[in-house]
Amino acid sequence: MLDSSLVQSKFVGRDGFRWWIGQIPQVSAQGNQVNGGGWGNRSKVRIMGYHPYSAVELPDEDLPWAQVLLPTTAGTGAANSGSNVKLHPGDTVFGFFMDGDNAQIPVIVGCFGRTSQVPSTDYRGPFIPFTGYTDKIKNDGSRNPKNETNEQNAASAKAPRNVSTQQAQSIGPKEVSYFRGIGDIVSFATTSPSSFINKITTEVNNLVQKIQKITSDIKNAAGRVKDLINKEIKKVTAKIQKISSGLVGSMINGLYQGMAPVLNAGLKALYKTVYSTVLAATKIPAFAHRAGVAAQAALVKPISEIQNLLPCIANKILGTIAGTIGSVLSSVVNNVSNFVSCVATQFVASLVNFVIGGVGSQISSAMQAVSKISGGFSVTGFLRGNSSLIGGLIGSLSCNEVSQNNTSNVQQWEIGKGAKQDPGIPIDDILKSANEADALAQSAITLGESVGGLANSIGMFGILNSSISSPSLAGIVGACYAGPPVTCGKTKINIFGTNGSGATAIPVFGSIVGTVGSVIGAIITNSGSGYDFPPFVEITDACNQGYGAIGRAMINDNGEVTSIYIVSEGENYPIGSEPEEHIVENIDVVDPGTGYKNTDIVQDNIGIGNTYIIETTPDGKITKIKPINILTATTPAPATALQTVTDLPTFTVKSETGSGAIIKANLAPKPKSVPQGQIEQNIDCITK
Amino acid sequence: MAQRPIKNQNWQGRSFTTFGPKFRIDMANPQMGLNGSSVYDLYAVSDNGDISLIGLSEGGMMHVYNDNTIEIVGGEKSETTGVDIMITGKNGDICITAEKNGQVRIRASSIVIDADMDVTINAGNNLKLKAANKIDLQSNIANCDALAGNLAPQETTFMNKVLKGTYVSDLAAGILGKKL
Repeated sequence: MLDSSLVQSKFVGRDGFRWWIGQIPQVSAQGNQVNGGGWGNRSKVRIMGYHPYSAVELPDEDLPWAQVLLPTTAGTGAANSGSNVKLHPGDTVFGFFMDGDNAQIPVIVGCFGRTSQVPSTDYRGPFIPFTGYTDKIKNDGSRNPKNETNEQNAASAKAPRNVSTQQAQSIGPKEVSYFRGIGDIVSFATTSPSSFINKITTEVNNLVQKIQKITSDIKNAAGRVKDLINKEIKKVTAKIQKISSGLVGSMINGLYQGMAPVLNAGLKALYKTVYSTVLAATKIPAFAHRAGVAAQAALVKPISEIQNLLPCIANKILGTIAGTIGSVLSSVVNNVSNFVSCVATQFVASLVNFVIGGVGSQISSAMQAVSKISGGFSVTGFLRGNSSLIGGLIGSLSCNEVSQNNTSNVQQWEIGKGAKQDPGIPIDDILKSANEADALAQSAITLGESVGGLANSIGMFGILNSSISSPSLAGIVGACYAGPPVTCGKTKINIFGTNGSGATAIPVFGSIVGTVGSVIGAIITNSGSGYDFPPFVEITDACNQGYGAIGRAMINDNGEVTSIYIVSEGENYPIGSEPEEHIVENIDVVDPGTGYKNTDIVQDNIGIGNTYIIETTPDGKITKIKPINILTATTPAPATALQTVTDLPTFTVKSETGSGAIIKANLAPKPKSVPQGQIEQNIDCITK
Repeated sequence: MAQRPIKNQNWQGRSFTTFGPKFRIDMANPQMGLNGSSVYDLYAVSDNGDISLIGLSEGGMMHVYNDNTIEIVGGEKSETTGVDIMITGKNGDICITAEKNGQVRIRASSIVIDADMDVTINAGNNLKLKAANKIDLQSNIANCDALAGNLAPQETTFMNKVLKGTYVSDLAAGILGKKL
């Protein structure tokens, strides 16, 4: 018998060519190959039909090494060009034997992608699919969704997405927010004298959101979760303490400005009183004058004492306000599940009451000393009666100063989303809330009721009580309800900034699923005026459940908003009542592009597609787009059959020369009936 | 909670490469985010769960997020008079905000603030200007409005407002032994 090796050619393929399918065994079989001491690109492999199904019969460690062939685009490592092999335990691989029927030198040429039907479990035995995760390649799925498939479907290789943690949780179990700060509000630096109020409310709002990211069950939080909550409250307390100095300074300044003329008048009246009294007694004007002056002079030091208090009052109040801020924040965190505007109002009002109480007590003895001339001036009464004191030091503009009204630029920003409309500062509401809470507390105290230490010092606010989130409050006019929204209402479009005002619009919905949908258009209901540039557009809803709808406004030379086009339709926006039907009314040329010809056509994605013709400038910029067949090129139909738009309309310009045009649909309610005359205008140019 | 119908999501255009659980590149992922769906995302996660993301969304916003410090250093080899880091807003504002209890700190051998129009500095509490040598104020008009202090003009102080027009307005400084 001839030794078979003597007749072998030792050339790949000439001694038989054997394909095989195998499995990468568990990582423990790979030895130093996976621990930094490997050689080449190779892996142990258990080959079907050649190796037993039993790891006892042939342990993984004794399997042959298989070389891995790389695609030419991967690089070999030469000249710093290369990429590593990404095979993992449990992968099913495909290859051939370099030595033909000897089957001792396997080569891996490819691998089979995993599907969702491949079990992602721990290793159980040879050829049974198992996970590619190991002790050193771990993923708990909290920051990057756990995934072991690369199928061509929407569920494969799930990515984190740009939504808040709460939104991600409500979208689905595998959804992950890609940054925990998403959804937080940032208040920018501003020239507004009352910006501190916005800063305070922003901090409280963000705290509520952040705590809800930590846990949805705040009342039962314990251990590390409780520590995290307390840590956040402490951080925000310190921040609000600092911001509050603006509020304190503003109120003290206003008090002194208001008090000065009262004391001045009192001082003058005192002179008159003393003068007339002494004159009546002595009949000597010089005596009377000296007595009057002496009476005034006796009050110079007490008045000076009031001025001397000026630098100290603010610091003393700020030094003690932290405890109250922390307590109120804890109440808000415990009691409020939806940060509505009245919560912000009450929070600031509680600080106002603390400041009023603090100023009153700090200055009371000094005021006692000037009681002769204060005419019963009540510090707390004055502070409670002037909402402008809360609003900050508003100086008048000099003739060369340009008004920087805060409608010109962006005041607030939502991380991940963009510019947010400034909610405004309800200064009157803040003072009203402060006074009502104080009156409630005083009334209860008068009746001998126990109101608690916190309510005693700042008043009885709804945010201090869990009933503020009671559904029984929902729907009551004037009540502050901070529980989960009972109804989301309808999605709103806010138009703001660039010095204009008055523009309003309503959304058009498409891609509707149940009671929610995407925003596929916007109908201008008021063009507003005074817009220097296209204003900002914010699409929002009361439940903060919609996300991703982005609109941009267009204005005319008169500073009026002419249209809003949709850049991204978003999803999950509450549609409110039964939606109307809409059609494409006209088309906005957002960017005219270049190089287009009048013979180019535009097609949309509505129904089976409509066709439009364009008008261009001599240098190929699109100036106008007009429909030529409102239905289809081959099926002219009555205009009453104008096609209803149900999804975001998109357009394709068919051109061999042009590029860069961006065109967007402008939607309008579908007419109930269309006059016959319009049919004649819809000339089908393609089929003629 | 309902996502838009899958027929309206362009999965055909999506492309991704994942490099294990710590880093992924995702392109044209149609899943919706706050600023529209994703054009691209470079997404990384550390063993400690810290995130780093650079991405662009269809709303046109580029995001750079990082759970911990973002370090930008330029100019190690540039000329001393050159520009090492250039940040420009072509049309809108440049907003820098230090949240919580952070400070905005700027240090340089000299600092220039050059505003075409007004410079406004708001301090919730104190504003301190300290120069080791001198402070020059130059303007066509310079005003000071304060209730007290040695820079406050007589007519704006609290004491003067209270004493104005009384017989002790001229005597008060003598009574107190100091300027009002």
